[in-house]
Amino acid sequence: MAKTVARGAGDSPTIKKYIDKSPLEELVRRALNREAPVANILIKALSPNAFIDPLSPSGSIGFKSIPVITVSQGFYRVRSTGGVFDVGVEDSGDGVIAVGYIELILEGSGLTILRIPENPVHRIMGIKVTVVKGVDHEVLLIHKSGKRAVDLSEIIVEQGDASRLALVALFNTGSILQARVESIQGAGSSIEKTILVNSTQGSRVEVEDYSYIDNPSVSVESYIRSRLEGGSIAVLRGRGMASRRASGSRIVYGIESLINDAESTAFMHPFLDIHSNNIVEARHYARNYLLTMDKLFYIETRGLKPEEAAMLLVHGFLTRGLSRAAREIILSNISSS
Amino acid sequence: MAIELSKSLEHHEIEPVEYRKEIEIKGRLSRSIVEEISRVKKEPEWMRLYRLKALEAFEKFPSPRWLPWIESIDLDEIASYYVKPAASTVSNFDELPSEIRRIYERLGLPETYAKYLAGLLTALDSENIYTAMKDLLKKLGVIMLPMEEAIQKYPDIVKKYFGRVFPYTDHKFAALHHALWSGGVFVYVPRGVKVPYPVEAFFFIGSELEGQFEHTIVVGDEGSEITFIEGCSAPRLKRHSFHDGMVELYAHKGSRINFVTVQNWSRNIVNFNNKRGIAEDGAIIEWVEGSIGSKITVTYPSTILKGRGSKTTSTVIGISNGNVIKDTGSKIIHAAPYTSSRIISKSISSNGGINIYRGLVQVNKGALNVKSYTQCDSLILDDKSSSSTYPIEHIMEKDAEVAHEATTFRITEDQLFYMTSRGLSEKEAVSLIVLGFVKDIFPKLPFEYTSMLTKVIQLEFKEIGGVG
Repeated sequence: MAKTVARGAGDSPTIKKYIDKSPLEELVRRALNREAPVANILIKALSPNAFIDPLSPSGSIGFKSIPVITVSQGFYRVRSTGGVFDVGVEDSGDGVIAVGYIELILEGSGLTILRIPENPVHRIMGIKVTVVKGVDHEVLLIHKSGKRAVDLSEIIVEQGDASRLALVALFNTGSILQARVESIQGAGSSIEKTILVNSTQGSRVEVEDYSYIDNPSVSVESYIRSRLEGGSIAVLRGRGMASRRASGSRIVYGIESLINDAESTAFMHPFLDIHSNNIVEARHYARNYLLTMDKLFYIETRGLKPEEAAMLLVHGFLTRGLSRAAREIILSNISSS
Repeated sequence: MAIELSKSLEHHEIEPVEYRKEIEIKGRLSRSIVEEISRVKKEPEWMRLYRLKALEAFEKFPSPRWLPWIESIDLDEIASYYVKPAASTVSNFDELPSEIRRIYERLGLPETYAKYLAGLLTALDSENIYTAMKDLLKKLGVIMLPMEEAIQKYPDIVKKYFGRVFPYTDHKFAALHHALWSGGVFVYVPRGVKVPYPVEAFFFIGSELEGQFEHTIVVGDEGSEITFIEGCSAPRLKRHSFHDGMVELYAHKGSRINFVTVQNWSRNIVNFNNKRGIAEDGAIIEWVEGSIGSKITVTYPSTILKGRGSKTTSTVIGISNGNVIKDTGSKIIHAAPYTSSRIISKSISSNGGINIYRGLVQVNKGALNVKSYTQCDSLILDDKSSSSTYPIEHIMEKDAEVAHEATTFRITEDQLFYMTSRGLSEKEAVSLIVLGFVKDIFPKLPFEYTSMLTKVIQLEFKEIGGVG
């Protein structure tokens, strides 16, 4: 089922090396050579309709941007019809690298929450989400990092025919984050991906989202939104591709940035490749969201303090279009960041 | 649903024409070829050395691997890097050799010059062969000369601008251009002069396996205004030819330069066009790129908004009908406060054509209160064609109002049903939609742009029904 999303054709010299990724390369090198203490991630199911199976560490899940490092108890297969999971780390401390891979199989409709708490360790983490045919599910990933943490994450989504997935991933970033998301859809399936980047402490962030439509009547909506403060730099890339077999499909890509100080920078690349003339809708957009004086003034006239008015706009920017459940959970995690 | 457009891709192309050539510099690209071109043109030493430096850069730079189809271009296959027709530059059509005059008559150039233009320069292969300016232009003090002549007559002015906006260090094909440039035009509009009618340069490639490297510079001094139209054409050739032209615009404080390209090369031309402008305080640069013909076109008209309050607009129309690739777009660098830009791109892909939009909007640190809007629409007419959009936005200021929107359209059954129920045939309905898709940008353009682009688009789609 897995298809490789073609890369490179859109990469002109205009696309530069925006952030120094040597700490990420160093992280991978040290983890592979076991030059740093490697800890496993530990998963705990917090609800009865979720099951954790041991998964042999074969490394065959198909991650493209992260190495698969064989560690015992580092691989999990999670079957869920809805529920909450806490993902922790067995050991923590400076210099520790946490490694873990989760295969999340969604067999019934519901809401699954994966909570990855703030931790001082560096992390290499892969999550594969498989949505069984005909299932309608919502997944929330709350990913928090310590201030100095270096994070390498990848999320792969594979959807069966006529399934529906709403995926919301919130990254409260640390020092550096590289996250890659890729989705491949079955016929008649739909996905709404919302990737939220909350960088308030001078983070370096690179988020890439790829969608490949090779089946008819597929719907893909992908939104990347970033809030940048404290001199953060974010590279936000989205790439949607519809093949000739994607008749009756639709694809929407949106990238937005809210730059909230004079030092932060956003680089946005919403790319679209359309190879079918039978697409219902194909569009993308990118924009810089502004906290303008008139918006703030309007809210302040309703009795809010300037900082409350600004925060209200930030919250609205990040949670626009999310389900009620997702919005409440995301808001509580933004506030505490 | 597949929409059948004309499969006769060459219906409006010109038959090959035989004419005498005085000089043809052939062989593999080398230092001696570059020196020979410089010697033939009797260039000053600084230009000879400049060419050689560019050649060194060309040899050093890697091929741009991000353009997958670039591998199909074999520069060693180009046989002629410089072709001088056996005709000296004249200022009267009647003085041209009859076989060359017939080409221009077929293209309607004498009539266009008489009716609409203030000045006209035509280049055949590597040399300019016709330059004419109406008295009005002379009275206004406008300089409009073939580039070679401008280097001889006004070396200081040319030296000030040549390669300043688009240096040879930019990329491999820019370096190749600077090493081999020949022909082109130098236009200088004096301070406060507003040229009321457009001027035009028309470029024609007459031979196969030939390289054309014309260089155009338009300088608008403070408070001046000019509209420059660039036309390109070639006859139907058996083998390909290569065009690697360059345009440099320099808009001084408060000036306005409108640069219109109607590119209608035949389907054997590989077209690389390097276009860039610099706008100083309050200046305006407007690009209109009508990219209709050629086998492969790679062009991204770019503007550096260097001065406070400067503005730019890029309107790019790409039509890929058949086995054609259009890799077009526009790039804007906002390097000063209160600058604004707008990019409108419209592309139509049919009969297996590929359209690619590649754009950049960059807001530099310190460029406060910037506004930029990009709109990118693609129309795909059948299941063999494709469209890709690669916009890039670099935002380094928090108050930058930057937005990009792109949409891919198709012609739906209900649109066709509605129009055919009003008495139109299916072909007429399709053609009306195609023209309507492109035409909604016309009201934003001056009249002369509209009539010229409409004519070329009508030619491209004339066999499908009601267009035109």
